[in-house]
Amino acid sequence: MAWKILDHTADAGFEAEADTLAEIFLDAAEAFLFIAAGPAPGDFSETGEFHTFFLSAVDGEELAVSWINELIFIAETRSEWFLPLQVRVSLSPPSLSARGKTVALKGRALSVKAATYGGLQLRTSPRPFLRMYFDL
Amino acid sequence: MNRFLRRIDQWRLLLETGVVPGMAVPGLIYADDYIESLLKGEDALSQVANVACLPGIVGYSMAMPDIHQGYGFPIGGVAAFDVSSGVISPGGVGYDISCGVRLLASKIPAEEFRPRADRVLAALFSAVPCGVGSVKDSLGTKEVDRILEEGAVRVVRSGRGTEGDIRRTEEGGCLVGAEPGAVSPRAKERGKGQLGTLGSGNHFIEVQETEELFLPETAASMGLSKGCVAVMIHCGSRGLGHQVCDDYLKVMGRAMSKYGIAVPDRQLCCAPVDSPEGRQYLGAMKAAANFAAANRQAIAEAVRDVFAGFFPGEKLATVYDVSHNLASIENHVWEGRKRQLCVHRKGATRAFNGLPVLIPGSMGTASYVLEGTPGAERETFGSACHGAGRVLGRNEAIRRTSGRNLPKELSAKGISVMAEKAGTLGEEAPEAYKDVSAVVEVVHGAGLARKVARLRPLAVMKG
Repeated sequence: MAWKILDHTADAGFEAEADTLAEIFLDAAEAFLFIAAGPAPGDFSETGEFHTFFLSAVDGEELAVSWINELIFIAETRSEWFLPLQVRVSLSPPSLSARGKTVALKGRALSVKAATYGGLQLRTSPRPFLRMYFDL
Repeated sequence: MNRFLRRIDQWRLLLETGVVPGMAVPGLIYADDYIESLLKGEDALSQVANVACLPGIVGYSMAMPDIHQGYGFPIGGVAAFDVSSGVISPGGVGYDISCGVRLLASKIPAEEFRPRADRVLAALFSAVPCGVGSVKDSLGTKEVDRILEEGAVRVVRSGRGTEGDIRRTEEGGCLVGAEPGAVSPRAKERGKGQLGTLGSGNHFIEVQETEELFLPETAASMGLSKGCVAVMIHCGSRGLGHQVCDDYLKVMGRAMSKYGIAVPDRQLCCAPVDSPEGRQYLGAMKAAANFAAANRQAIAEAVRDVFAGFFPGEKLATVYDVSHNLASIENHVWEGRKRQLCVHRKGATRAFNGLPVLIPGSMGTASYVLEGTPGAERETFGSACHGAGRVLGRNEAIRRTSGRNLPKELSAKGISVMAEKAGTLGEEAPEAYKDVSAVVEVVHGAGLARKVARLRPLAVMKG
């Protein structure tokens, strides 16, 4: 995996570095899923239903927070994980489109309340980098 | 950081201005030597300093002895802002708006409970859904709005509770001025299936025994009897509150430039209390707080149903229900002058003179009931601590407890425990928290609250 878990006295975070912003956002989703519910459920590409959504924000940081909070919203209101297959990210203007599959939570407890702006860092150079903390 | 920290007396540390540029007031941290030793290497002190930079802050950026790192504000943080010149910050309340504690007291002797502990625990697990995203019967939009407006009163008036519950809930279980219209459809969507659910992480239902009375008459007036069972419920506004916080972090983040406000940490974004954005957030926050009070009321009723099955005829009366994540418009006298202030308590409890202050400990340790004092009203805008406060990160706690059988260890101490997720027990292990007795000793010694009773856990249900 291209991300690592960060400790926090009450909660947890992650940081990731990748070649592209899209990869960073995919890493963020993977880290979120890991922190929220443990290792991802095997090969999910053969199951679930396709789902697509679009987000916009005032800047890249808000976009990153909105991305994870959208995954939490889907999990809470539909009892499903959104497992992204493709993410397109732009910072001018800040927007994101995501296509993936939703799979049932199947009793897996979700333990993340929200992605936060606390300690948040999003850099685009020299390589895209994201650090984010979750409220657990 | 520590070179800016100066001990005032046995219970107080001053964090001098100059730690970060723009501190308008010093920090004041309630800590003895033990608590101070735990602050080393903690980002919480930086967070105390950052809060001191916010416009219109009055007195000090304060932290209670359960201080630890949060987001924007530290956990245990108290900050008051002049209503006419100061700000309100969603980050100063937190995601779990009006997370709080309800304590129920009974006359059931602890020795009668013990043989039934495991069965009661299993029944509680069935009666109260837990885990993030846990759902109960879904409410319609109109009913969600009624709950946002009326809070615990709505639950009681629907037949689930007593007038005594309302009398013994902070602000009567209903914050006046709640604005359901300021709560987004997205937040309502998250909340509609979550009334009567516990949530995850450090949220719990704990059956306790009143072990020691420090002020017997006060304890008796609260309904607490030595050797008898009490039930503590810790939870908040669930996904609805989390969404309100997230929504208004965006609103405030966008509004700050309009008001010429700059903050050292984006999670501290804020707007003047007396601004459209400030008023709107306050209305939405109050609505979410009402949802939290209604949630604890619904859970209390579910707990009563469970107990009725095991102990027919026994009552579980509300001792008190109090929030520890809230911003509140209050009148205080500061430096001899009456002030109307927006008091933010993030992981801190209102401790007005004579009112109960509920302090849960960790899974295997004591909890306390305290009573607010005039000292708190003079010194901390009527505030005290809210719990033990973490010392270990969740991953570190899991690492340190790896390979141990925590349920067995707790069972050896006479404590039954069940959790929605196995990992929660490691995250919430007693050593992940400060010594709650030491924390309480600081607020007691500093004169912010008096010890009334100590309770020990008998059975713990973790979300």
